[in-house]
Amino acid sequence: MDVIQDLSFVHLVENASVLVQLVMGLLLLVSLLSWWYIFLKMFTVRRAIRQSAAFEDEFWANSDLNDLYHQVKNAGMEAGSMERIFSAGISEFAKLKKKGSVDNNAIMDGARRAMRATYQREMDHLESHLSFLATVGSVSPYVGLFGTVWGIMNAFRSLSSVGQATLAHVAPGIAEALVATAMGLFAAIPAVVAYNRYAHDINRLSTRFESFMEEFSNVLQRQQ
Amino acid sequence: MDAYTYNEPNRVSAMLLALLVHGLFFSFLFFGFNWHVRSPRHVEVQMWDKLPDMKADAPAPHAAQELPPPAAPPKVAPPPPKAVEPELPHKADIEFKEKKKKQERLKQEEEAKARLEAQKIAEKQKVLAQERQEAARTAMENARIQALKAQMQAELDSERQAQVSHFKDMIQAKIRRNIVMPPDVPDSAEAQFFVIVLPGGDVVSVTLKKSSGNAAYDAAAERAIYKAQPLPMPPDADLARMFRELRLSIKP
Repeated sequence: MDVIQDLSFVHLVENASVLVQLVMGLLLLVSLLSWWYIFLKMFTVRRAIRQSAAFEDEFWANSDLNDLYHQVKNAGMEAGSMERIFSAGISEFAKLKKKGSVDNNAIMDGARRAMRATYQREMDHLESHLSFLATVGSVSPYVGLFGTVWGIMNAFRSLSSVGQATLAHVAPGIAEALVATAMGLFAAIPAVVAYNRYAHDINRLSTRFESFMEEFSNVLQRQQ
Repeated sequence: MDAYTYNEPNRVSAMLLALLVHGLFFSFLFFGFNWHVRSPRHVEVQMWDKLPDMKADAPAPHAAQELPPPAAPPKVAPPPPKAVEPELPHKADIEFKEKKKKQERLKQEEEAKARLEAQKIAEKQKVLAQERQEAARTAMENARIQALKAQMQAELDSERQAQVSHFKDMIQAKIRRNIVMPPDVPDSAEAQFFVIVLPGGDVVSVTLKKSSGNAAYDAAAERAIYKAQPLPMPPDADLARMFRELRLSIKP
């Protein structure tokens, strides 16, 4: 046995035991997925914030609700969350009004219910995959640690069969095993950071949506 | 407008970005970080004595077996001289014939003699040529045996060299582990020691041959050599003899 061993990264992964390699593969997959969701959510949340701000500006600048409604209709799939809430509220309001309902409270309740339904759907869309990030953040260090513990166990077991034990006998095994922990942490840290960041952003967006709903209800009430 | 479907235009770009992040991470692992164990402070162990010349006493058991048995010298049977058949004489000119016969016999005998001699010379030449061939063959055999011996010797040598360097590494590693570096040792410092080691690896004596100029460093190196006892020694007695006297050159 050489005193100085090849401890390059590829060598470490190649020589690891099957279970450790499986753990590494799993962590790599999880890490890829979590980074994909991180970027996906980043784009989604940013777009939602941008669109909400733009729509709020437009809403308070433009007094003609019909005009605004047609704009939103034309936007189609490109419409933001707040636009959808607005559209759901105003179309329900118009339908109830057209039916000749006289009860103001009933009309308002209907419009509000429609808005709330859309709001919940939007929130669900924004929060999708966030739980995956949370799971990755909390579980993947443990998965990596499991691989490491297993690898170190093997390293020490093989040590017992060697008569004269030196650090050089265990070092490669432990280095191999620690690669698993490194990968677990690599998957976990960004996932936790991203989860906290997006949860905060989405929370703020939901407050914004709710206050818009209240304000819009007021505007609709005044319209009657 | 379908409220249930959401278009996410950035799916592909998000995937590409994720791949990019992993590519960066792994390229960092490959190139940015040197995983090789390389201690900047190292101890050099140099052998005091050279490898003894082992060519003389190394036997070559295989070579002797491979030698084909020398070809048996071919028997050269000289062809027997032709017997001269006597002719039946006529009654009339018996004398003449006798005379003639005598002459002829003489002639024939002479011829036979000459033929015999020629044959003898030819045989001699043949034998000489064979001897020469034999000599050439044995020379070639010898050359082959020599080459085989040399090859085996080289193999043996390289094996021993590997063993020697292996144990050199072990000794180096053991001393390196035990050295406690005093502060402020210049990188150029080099202490040379002459160490006598028992076959079991115990250090008999450590003599400072050349000071590094830093007394603390000299002392630390000496302590390290004593602390490294027993030094790893090859189990082969022949090899262990080479490790009896070591010249250690210890550099920070």
